[in-house]
Amino acid sequence: MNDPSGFTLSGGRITSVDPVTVMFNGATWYETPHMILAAYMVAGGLAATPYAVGLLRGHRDRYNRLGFLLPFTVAAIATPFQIAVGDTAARAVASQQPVKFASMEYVPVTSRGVPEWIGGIWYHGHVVPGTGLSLPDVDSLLVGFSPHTKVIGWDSVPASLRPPFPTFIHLSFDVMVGIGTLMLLWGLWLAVWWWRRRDLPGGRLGTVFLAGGALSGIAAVVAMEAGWMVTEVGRRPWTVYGVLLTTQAATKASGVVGTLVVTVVIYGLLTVATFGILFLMQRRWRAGPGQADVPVPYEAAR
Amino acid sequence: VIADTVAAVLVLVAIAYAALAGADFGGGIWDLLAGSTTRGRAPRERIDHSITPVWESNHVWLIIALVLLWTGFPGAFAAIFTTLFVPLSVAALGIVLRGAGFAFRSQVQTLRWQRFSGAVFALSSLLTPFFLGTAIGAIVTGRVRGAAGDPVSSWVNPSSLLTGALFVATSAYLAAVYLATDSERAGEPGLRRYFTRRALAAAVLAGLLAAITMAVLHTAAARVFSILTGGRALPLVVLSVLAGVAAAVLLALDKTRLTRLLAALAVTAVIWGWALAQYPLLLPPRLTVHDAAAPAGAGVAELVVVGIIVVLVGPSFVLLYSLAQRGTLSEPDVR
Repeated sequence: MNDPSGFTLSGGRITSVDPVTVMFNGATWYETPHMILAAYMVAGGLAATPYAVGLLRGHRDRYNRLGFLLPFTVAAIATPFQIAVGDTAARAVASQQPVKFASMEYVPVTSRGVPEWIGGIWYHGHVVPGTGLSLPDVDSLLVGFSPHTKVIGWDSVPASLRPPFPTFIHLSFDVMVGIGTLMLLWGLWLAVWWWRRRDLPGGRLGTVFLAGGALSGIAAVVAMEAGWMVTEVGRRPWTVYGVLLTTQAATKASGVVGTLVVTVVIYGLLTVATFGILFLMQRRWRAGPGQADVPVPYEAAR
Repeated sequence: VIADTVAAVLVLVAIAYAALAGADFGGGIWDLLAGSTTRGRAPRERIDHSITPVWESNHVWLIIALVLLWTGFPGAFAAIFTTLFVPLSVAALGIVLRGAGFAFRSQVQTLRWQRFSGAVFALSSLLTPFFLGTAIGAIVTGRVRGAAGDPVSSWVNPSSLLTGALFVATSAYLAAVYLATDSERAGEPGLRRYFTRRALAAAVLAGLLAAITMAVLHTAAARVFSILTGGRALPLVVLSVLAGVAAAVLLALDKTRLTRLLAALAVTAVIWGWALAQYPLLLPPRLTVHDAAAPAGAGVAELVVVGIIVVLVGPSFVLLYSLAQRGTLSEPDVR
């Protein structure tokens, strides 16, 4: 959808398809590794979280240390590769989907010497003063390794073909990159302590390290979702970039709103139920192994 | 040729879904009808044990069918899902709630919540095959025509509603036959008789509904009707009736061997017969398989994927079913 290829359109109909080219399109080589590495970071962070909490509570036994170290190391190893892949992906987006890139980086007008914005709220044609930090020429440097690199702005297309909410897209991008950078720092922190002392980071900041470890699961999920927001909202108004607008792709059937409301309500209830069940299971396991089995359908609880 | 092959695979997958997941829905229907918490405990336990290892994997077939439909026949998929979004949404929600209710039932602790999630499971087991049936009924009788089909009258009509009821009765029949065999295997003759009685009742009901549906199809889908009753699909209809009656007779004689195969054969034959009767039309009255097909490249890719699925999923299913049949998968503390 980001770099559609491998098909022939004629008169609004697809007349021939080359499945291999469709699947291995120009965006596949960076999007796929980006998501696979993200999956390792999310899984690693989430699996490490409960053990980090255990360590924070003072249970510094082998069980909690191993339970934390194994998954966290996996996430930490994935992180530098992820940053390299993400950096390459951003350059690919700058050339394949320049308008999406312009929204990610606040580039209103095609120009050279484009600054890199960190944070910042976009309002009425400029960043609200004091809400963000501007690094001169850095965006041009990142895109083409030279401050004179020309970066295409969103003025290259009419307003109707630009994504909505540049602030949302840009801040989502910043959140993803920021969390990734923190994960890199935490991985280095662990690597240094392990290299010097064969131990988890301790000292006065040891608690800060573990608190970060305990948050790494949620943070990784937030980073992944923020990344999805960047790529999906950033592609608006296109569903298939340059080929099919979302308004053209939408169903003509009535009842969309009703179906959406019902779906959201039911999945909301299921989410509540899932957490309720997890809570019940936790309480049961705490109570001891004898409580673990549940009578088969419909026998009163003991 | 490619489009025809994809369509044939689609029918085979639909058969697998009907014969396997259909029985899971039927299990839920018998759970719904099992009566009070004390009286219904034994059959509910049997149903629970039989469904637990397989119900999630049986939905693989629905997913394959959907993917084949939307990649192989995108125009038909769009027409079906925009016209029939009401019954298909209800069926989809039923599938979701059914799984959730079934899984949650074994985790909640109090009787009240067990009954609640059990009721969600059982009710959605009834709703899902019914609404899938109404959708098929709408397709057979030619009420899905592009995106302009009516969202209500397309499925609220005698032939669609009858097809829905027929799907429910058939699911219940399949489930009762399978459960009777499972009870026999588990050494529970009382439960075997319990499910045998229900299998016979469901067989009679399904037979009656099939006859009435056919009578309605006589006018609502004249072409399909004439091929089913006198054309190339007749042998399959006869085979289905014979297999269904044979299974019922064996059950009445308290025999459980072969009954499952015969019951599955009855369902297989009738679905294949319907497909044959409707061919070359994908969406009557006009859209043919050939016209609805995606470009050849997509069809070839699908067949390759189906080949991979057969290689990967086939052995897994054989293993799953042989383990489930040997009872190796039930938890020791539950039995």
